[in-house]
Amino acid sequence: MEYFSLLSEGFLRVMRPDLLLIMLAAIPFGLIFGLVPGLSGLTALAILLPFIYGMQPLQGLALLLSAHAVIYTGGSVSAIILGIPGSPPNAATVLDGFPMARQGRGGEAMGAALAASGLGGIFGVLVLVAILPILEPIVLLFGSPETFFLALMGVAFIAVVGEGPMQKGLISGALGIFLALFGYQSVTGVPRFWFGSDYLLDGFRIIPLALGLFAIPELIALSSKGRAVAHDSDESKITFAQVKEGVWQVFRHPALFFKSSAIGAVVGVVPGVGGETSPFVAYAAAKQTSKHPELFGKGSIEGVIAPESSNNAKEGGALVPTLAFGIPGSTGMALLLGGFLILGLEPGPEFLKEHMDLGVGLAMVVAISNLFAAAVMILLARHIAQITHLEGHILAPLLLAVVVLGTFASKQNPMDVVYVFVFGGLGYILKELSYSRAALILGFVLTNAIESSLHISLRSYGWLFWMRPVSLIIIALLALGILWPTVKRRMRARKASAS
Amino acid sequence: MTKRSSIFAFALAAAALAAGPAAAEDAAAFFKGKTLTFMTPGSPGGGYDTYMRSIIPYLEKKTGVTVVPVNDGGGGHRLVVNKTYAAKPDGLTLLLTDGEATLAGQLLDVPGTRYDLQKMNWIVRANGEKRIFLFTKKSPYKSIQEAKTVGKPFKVGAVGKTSAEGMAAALAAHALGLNIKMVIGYKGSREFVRAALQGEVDAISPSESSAKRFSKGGRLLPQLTLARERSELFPNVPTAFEAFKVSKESAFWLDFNSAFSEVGRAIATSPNVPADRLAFLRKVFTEILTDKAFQAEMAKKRRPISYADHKTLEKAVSTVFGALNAERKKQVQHIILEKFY
Repeated sequence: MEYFSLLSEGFLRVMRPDLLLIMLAAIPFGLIFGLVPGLSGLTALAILLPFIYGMQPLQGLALLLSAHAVIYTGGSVSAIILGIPGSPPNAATVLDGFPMARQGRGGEAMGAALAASGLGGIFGVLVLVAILPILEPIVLLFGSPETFFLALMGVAFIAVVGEGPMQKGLISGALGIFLALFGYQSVTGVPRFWFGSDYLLDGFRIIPLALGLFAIPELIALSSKGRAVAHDSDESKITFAQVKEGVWQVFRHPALFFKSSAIGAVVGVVPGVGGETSPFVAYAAAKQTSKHPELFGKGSIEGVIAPESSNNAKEGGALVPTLAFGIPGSTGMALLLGGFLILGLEPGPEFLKEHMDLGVGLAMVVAISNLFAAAVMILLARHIAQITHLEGHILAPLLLAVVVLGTFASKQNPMDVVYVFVFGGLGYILKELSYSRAALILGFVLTNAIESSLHISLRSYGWLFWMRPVSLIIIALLALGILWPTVKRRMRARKASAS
Repeated sequence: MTKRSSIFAFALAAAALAAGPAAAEDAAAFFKGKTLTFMTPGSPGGGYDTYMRSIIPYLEKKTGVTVVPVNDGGGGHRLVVNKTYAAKPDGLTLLLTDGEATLAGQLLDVPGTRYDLQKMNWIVRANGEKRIFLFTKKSPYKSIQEAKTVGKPFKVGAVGKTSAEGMAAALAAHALGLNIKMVIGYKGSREFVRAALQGEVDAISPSESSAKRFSKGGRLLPQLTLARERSELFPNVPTAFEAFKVSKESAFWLDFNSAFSEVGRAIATSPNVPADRLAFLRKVFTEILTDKAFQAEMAKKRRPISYADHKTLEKAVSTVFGALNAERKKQVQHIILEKFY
């Protein structure tokens, strides 16, 4: 009962004309930053941050949160219609979203992705509000050993997210891990493989890597063939009915939606695993439990629903450690924390005791923004998807300009642009040889979390660091995830032989 | 002195007097309308970033420059220092530095360090904080004296070997004979505070303002101020010199540690910047950082200002580098990089 009164109070608190106006202004901003490859949520927040000076706390935070909450909603659209992830976490959506667009089912994929994003965001908020009164003990359950095992779970899924054979997925994942080893290593304080170059001293960056791997091969294909992304035929015309069908697909897969959103919320709660991980883990979990795993990578609607549900649910989860301890659960949340301090607020247990209403209000801002962004994008989806009918020789140069500018804007470093093309070459080779680019990204993003959390766990707890309740649960889930396909295969074989 | 030489001396003095304001005017005119790059290793929204972005509007108003803020924490915070050091010597590239990590890079010959802080032009310090040693509630010891007496190792959390709190803990432990085991690899101060609250580590040594923030509600227990004077934020917490009988050798290491924090969050520019521009920048930054309204604004953001001029910074830098002969340098490298790992 108390839960519902918390929700309704929070809802009424944000239903103020000034707050709604601020959200209305911030949401399109976030969506555009999500849509344009290279421009990340972090850039959007960094631009908005100076505007909150002098605002009331809820106003300022609503401005930042609304824009941030909908970034991945925008990013899913570019992933589906162009095969280029708007932001790195949307890379998992490319795997099935883009094949659907090429089959002329872009509308359906977008409908499913947007509905899953919006509803996933709301799921994350419901989880957050449910645990708001007990945030501190929950966050304290997740230490470095738990971060290590969650990251390891991500690695275990490397072979599963691969579009091609398992061995090729593992090789790609290993390549991702190798690329993540370049640059300054925080534990030893020693740079690795930097060859005296200042650029490599910092290691490779995720934006040039993700854009190079995914965008450049698509641009090469577009310009060499000169054809549109979708085949221009009457059947492939995108209609609102197609988009609506996609939305309904989410409701037809409730178990998948809840499982993926829960994965997102949990990964968000644990600081240090990295926001890019959750959509891949959700995708791999969906593939393992699907009745049609063979369709994954070829345009499976489940492969779109899973990553998108988890992507937005993660941000509700990431608010948990941010509010509970002032420890950001994702990179975006680190910037949001800066916003809190600018407004004279200090998140932490004392903060929640004094400002529980503000905490619930913020959760409601995330929920409303998700809902609103999904609704707007669903209405616009049919028009946006027309891009897939533009001819390749027109679309490719336009996209190339966007990719180059987006990459440069992220750090204002021209070397990033050079590396987009270097990784573009690598992405082209991987694509041609059917090696998984998603597995490479997953290996890349998890390496740092694994290396640091394993080092800390061993130093702090010794070799028995895994003997902790939550760690044991994660290990059990990990074992189940690895063994499940074999168990399922045997069960099927037994059923077949019995019949 | 002949009449002619008196006239000549008078003329020279008059010319020198006139040249002072003229040079200042020239410098002011130089900056007007220019684009200035202001870099920091801190990430957007963090402490360094808040200092940098809060100063920018005042800097633009006072000088007429357009400031481009850059956040780049790469290479263990050393990339931005490399860039500033190699920048054109025109005063249009500024750095808000992480003093301790920057000093450590040069002192410990960390690969990727391409600067000489003794040649860098120091402008002012925005903030320099003492470090506080805190025990967690789950720590096996109730007091730092008990920890020293029992002698069983306790775990201290930090970001890395050459991070500010990592070096402070190692130098203090060496000076006071504490048996510590460093646990490093945390992404930032918030992460090692989280580890402390979880009991993953037994102690941490953050800056005084962070210590104040995170020890609220008695969740972390302040033990020691790592300086000669007590912290204004922790008037009841003894200094290392009060809590222990400190030998001359131990005092050397504790003072060496304090010299590190003396640099703190300082603003610097590249070497060989013309003297008039340097003087102008120092004057402008002094006006900003000593402005009561600005200080109140920063206090509201929980980012206090503890201004120091360029002479204090130059002295602190030469204390760090000048105090060490080859043997001492080897000892520093051993204490910071090896002894507690």
